[in-house]
Amino acid sequence: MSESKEKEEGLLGSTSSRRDFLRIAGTGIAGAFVTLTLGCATMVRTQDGKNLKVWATPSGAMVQDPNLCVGCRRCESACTIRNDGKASAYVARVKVSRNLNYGVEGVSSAYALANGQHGNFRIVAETCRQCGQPKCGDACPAVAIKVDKKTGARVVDSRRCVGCGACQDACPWHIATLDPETRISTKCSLCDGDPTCAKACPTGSIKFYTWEEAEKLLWGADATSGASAVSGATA
Amino acid sequence: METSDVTASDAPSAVGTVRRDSAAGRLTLLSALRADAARNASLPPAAAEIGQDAPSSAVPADPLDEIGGSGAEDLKRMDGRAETYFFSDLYMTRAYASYLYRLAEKDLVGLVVETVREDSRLYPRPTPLDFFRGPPFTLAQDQLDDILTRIREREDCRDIRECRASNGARYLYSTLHLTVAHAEALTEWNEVGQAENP
Amino acid sequence: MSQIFGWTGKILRVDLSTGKTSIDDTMKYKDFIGGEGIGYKILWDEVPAGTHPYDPANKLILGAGPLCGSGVPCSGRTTIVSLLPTSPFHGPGSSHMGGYFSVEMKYAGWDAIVLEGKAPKPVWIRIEDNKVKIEDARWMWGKGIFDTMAMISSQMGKEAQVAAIGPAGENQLNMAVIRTGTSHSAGGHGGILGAKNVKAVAVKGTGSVKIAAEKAKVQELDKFMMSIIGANNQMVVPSHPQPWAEFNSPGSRWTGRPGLFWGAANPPVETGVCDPKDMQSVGFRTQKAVFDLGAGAEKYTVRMGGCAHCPIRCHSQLKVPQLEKYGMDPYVSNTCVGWSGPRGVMAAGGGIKEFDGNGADSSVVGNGIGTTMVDDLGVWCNYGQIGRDVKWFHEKGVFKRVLPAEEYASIPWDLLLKGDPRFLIDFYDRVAHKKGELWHIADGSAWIAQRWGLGDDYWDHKDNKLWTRGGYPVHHSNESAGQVGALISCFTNRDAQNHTHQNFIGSQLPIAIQKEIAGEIFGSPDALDPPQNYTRMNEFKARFVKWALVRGRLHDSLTLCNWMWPMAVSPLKERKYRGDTSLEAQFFSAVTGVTKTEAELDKDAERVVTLFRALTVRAMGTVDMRGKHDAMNKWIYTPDKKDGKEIPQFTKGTIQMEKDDLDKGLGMVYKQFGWDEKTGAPTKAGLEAIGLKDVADELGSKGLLPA
Repeated sequence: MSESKEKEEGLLGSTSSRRDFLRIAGTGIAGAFVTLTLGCATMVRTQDGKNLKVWATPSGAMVQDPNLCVGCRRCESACTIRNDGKASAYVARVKVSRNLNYGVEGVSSAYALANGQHGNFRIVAETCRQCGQPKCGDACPAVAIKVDKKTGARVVDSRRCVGCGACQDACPWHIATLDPETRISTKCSLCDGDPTCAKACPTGSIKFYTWEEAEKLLWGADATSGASAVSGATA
Repeated sequence: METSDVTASDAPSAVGTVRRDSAAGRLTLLSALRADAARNASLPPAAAEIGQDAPSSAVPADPLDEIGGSGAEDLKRMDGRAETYFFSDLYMTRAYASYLYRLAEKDLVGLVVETVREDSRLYPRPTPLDFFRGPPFTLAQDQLDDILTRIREREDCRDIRECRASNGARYLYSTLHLTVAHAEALTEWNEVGQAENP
Repeated sequence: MSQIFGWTGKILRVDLSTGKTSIDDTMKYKDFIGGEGIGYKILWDEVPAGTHPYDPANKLILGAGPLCGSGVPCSGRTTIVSLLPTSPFHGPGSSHMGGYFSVEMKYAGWDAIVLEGKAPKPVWIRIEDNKVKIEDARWMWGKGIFDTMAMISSQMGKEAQVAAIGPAGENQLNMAVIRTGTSHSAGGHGGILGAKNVKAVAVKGTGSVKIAAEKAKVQELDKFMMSIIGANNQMVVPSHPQPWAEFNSPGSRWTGRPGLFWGAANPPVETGVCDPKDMQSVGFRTQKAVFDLGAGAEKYTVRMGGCAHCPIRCHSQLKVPQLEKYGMDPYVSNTCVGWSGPRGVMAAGGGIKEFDGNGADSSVVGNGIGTTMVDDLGVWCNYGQIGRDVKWFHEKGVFKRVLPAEEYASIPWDLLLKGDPRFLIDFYDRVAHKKGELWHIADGSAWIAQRWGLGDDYWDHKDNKLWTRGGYPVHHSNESAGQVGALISCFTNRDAQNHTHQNFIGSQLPIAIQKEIAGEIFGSPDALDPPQNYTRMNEFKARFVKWALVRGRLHDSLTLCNWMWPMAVSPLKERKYRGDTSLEAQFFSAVTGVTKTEAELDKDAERVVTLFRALTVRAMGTVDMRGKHDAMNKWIYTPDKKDGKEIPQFTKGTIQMEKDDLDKGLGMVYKQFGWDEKTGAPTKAGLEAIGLKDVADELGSKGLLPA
C-alpha cells in the first residue's frame, strides 16, 4: 500500500478515524492540506488554521471480555516479559491489576455489589484502543509515538521518548504508562501482529479484533462520544 | 486444536469426515459415509463447470475403498452387528470410542460391565452408578435399574457386585479385580472420605 | 551491587514499637531460597526460644520467593512465618495464602516484610514502592475484613493489595487468619498481628521482577509448563469421559466438560471440552463450585477465581442472592476447606438441611453463610478441626460440663440440630468476639484439651482425626499413600499442608502408571502402594517422604503453589503421562540467573527442612523428637473392627497403620535426612554438612544435639 493511499484511508476510509477527525477538526476538514508526513501519521492544516495529525488506521485492537476473565493476570506478565524482559503489572499494556479488586470505578460504599473481586467478581480490563486519533500520540512533544507499519498500532519509539509522561496524562484511559524504572513510556504495540497477552490467556478472554470489530466493542454504537465508551464490552 | 481443520480439509472426503466427527466427539457410521458418497456422486455442478456432461447416475466410490487406500493410520474401524464405525485416534481415544460404540450398538449391559471391570482393574476403583447418568452416557435411572437386573441374571456377569457408601450412593465393582473389603473401603473413601479431606 | 534477578534484593523491616523502618539485604539469606526459608532463618537468628507468640519479641514474616511475581505459573502465594499460637510449645510454623499480595509486594520492591515489636495503638502499614508509612488504624479496628480492605483501598487507591485481620485476629484468637483478596486465608497467625496492633498491611508496587534469561527461554518454559499442567491438585484426567482422554475419574477436579457451565455468568459460560492442548481453555478445566458444593452450585457460579499468574482457577465465585436475606452480600467466594470448615461445624448436628424456605438450594446458601462469616471475622478452622471438635464436645457433653449453664442455654443448639446454618452466625460471633467460655474452642486442640480436661479418648478417637498431641489434624496423612502421608504429617507443628504426595496420587491416573513414575523418581515402584491396599514400610517410601517434605518447603520458599506443584505427572499420553520434576530448578535458573540443578535446589530446600527441625528442637528443649514430637495418636495404628473382629493391617481395604512399622518408618526418614535415627534430631555432623554450623553450635551450647 502506498503511503498516500494509506494516508487517505486513514483519513476517510475508516469510520473511526473520520469520526474522530471530524470531532477534532470541526467543519474545517474540506480545506485541510498536508503539511508534513511523520511516519504513518500525517500533519494537516485545517481551513481555520489548526495543525492536526491524521493517523493511519490500525489493523485492530485487543479487547477483553469481562465475562470470561478470571483475573489471573498472566496476560500482564506475558506482556512485560515479551516487551520489557521483566515481569510487572504496572507497565503491562493490558491493565487488569488496577481494576481487579474494585473495578474501573474504584472503591465505593456499594463496593460489595460493584465490579471487581470484592464485588460482583466482574473483572474489567482496559486495553489500548489504538485510537483513530490517539491522544497519546497527539500529546507527545517528541513525536515518539508512531504508527507501526505492519500492524498500524500506535507504538512508542523508545529512542525518541523523553519520559515526560504527556502520553499517560493525555490518554483518557491512562493506558500508555511511563515505566518508573526506565523512564520510557510503554504502550500496546500489538506485539508485531502476534499479541502475547492473548496467547497467555487461559480462558480466551482477551483477543485481537479487527479495527471495525474492535471499534464496535470498545465504543459501542455512539462512536462519536468518548464519554459513552464502555471498556471491555462483552465480545 | 487449530491443526484439526487443516488436516481434515486436506484429507479425502471420507477420511476428513471421520476426523471431523472424531474431533466433534462422534463416531462415523459407514452407512452415513455411503450416503454422503451417493449424494456427492449425483450432484452435477462440478462436472458442468468443467464443460463435461455429467452422468445422470454416477456410481459412487465406496468410502471403504477410499479409507483403505488413504493410508490414514489414525483411522480405526469397529464392526457392530449391523453397522461399521470409524474414528480417528488423532482426535478420539480408543477408550472413548469404545464407550460410544457400545452406546451406538445399544449394548448397555456390555457398556456397564466392561466399564466396571476396567475401572476395578486399572485404577483400581469401584464405579459409581451415577457415572453412567452423566455424559457421554446420560442413561436414565430406570434404564440403569433395568441394566442391573439383567446383569444379575447373567451367568457371565457374576463378578459384578454392588455396594453402597454410607451416604447411600451406589457403586459397582468386579470381584475379578477387587475384594469385597477393598471395594467397600474404596467406595466409602471415594464417595465420603475424599470430600471430608480436601 | 551486581544486578539481582528474581529476588528484589530487599527485605523491609518494620519495628512497630519505635515506628522505625529499615531495609535488610535479601541476598544474605539466599541459601534459604526465599519465603519460608527466609522466615525460619529470621526466627532462628532473632526470636529466642521460649518467646510467646503474642509477645512483642516474636516476629512475623510475610515472605515471597524469587519466582513469585515472575509470571511462572502458580507463583502467587505468600508464606507467612512466625511462632504458632496453637502449638502447645509455641513451635515455629508457616501459614500460606494465595491471591495477589506477595506479587504486589515484589513489585513494590520487597522480598519479605518483617514485623517486629508491638505498635502502641492499632495501626495499618502503607507500602507504596519504597515509601512506607505506619498509619492509624483505630477507625477500622473492630471492622470485618471486607470493609477494612475497602477502607484502606479508598485511601491508598484501588490497586492496593491488602492483608488484614478481622475481629478474631484483633482479639488474639489462636485460630485466626490473615486474609488477602476476596477469599485467600493464611490460618494460624492472625492473632499475632492482633497482638502487634497491626490491622493490615497494604501494598502497591509499580516495579517489576527482573528476569535473567532471554525472554524466549522463559516463554518456552511457560509453554511447556502449560502443556503438562493438570487441573487443581495436578489432577490430570477428567471427571467424565472426553474424546481426548484415555482415562477418567469421577473424583477428579478436572470437572470442565461440555454441558457444564459457569451458570451465573452473563451470558453463561460453558466450561467445554478442555482439551489439554488448548491453552485457552486451561482456566475452564477446574469448575470447582460443583466439586466443592455439589451440582446445585453450577447455576450460582459466576466464574472461577484464584491467584496471580495461575492458570488453574480453584476458587469458586458465586452469586447467591438468597444471602441478602441474612444481611450478607450475595457474592461469595472460596475453595476447599474455606467452604468445608464452617460446613463441618454444621456436620456436628447432622449437616445443613433444608431451612428457611431455601429448599434444594439450602446447602449452597448455608455454605455461603458460613464462609462469609469466617472470611469477614477472620476465624481459622484448623483444617476442619473446629467442626470435629464441636461434634465431639456436643455429643460427649463437654459443652454442657464446661460452659456456664446460662451460656449453654443461650446457644441456639436447636438450629444446629435442625441443620439450619443460621447457627453459624451466632457461633462465629461468639468465637471471634471471645464471648463466654465457648470461644476457647478456638484456642486449638492442645490448649483446649488442657483447659477442658479432655483425656485420651479425645486424642485417640479416630473421627477426631488429631495426628499428634501437638493438636493438629490430618491433612493428607495415612489415607494418602499410607506411610508416606502418615510420616509426612509428623514433621510439622500444624496440619502438614503438604500436597507433594497428594498431587502425585491425586493425579487419578491408573495405579500402574503411577507406580512406574514413582519408580523413576524414588528408585522402585514399591514407593507407592495402590489405594487402600498398603504394604509395609520400605526404603523407597522413606525417599518419597523426604522428597515430599523437601518439595513442600521448596515451594513455600520459591514461592510456588504446593497445591499444583510439583509437576510429576501430566495429562499427555505422548509423554506417557510423565511431567517434569526438574521444572522448579529450570524456572529458578532462568529467572534468577543462578544456575542450579534439580538436586542442588532440593539441597537448599533440605536445608530449610533441617532448620525447621532445629527450630522445633530448640522450642521444645529436647532432642527426643521421636518420643515428644513425632509420636502419633493411637487411633492411627489401631486396627479397625468389622463385626467385632479386627481387620489386620496391610490387608486390602484398611488404611490403619501398625505402630512398629511407623516407628521403623520414622527412623528411615530420619536417616534420609542424616538425622539421629534414635531421637530424630539433627546431628552436629548433619547440620554442618548442610551448611548450618551456626545452628549446630547453638544447639550444642544448649545441650540439644543427640549423643
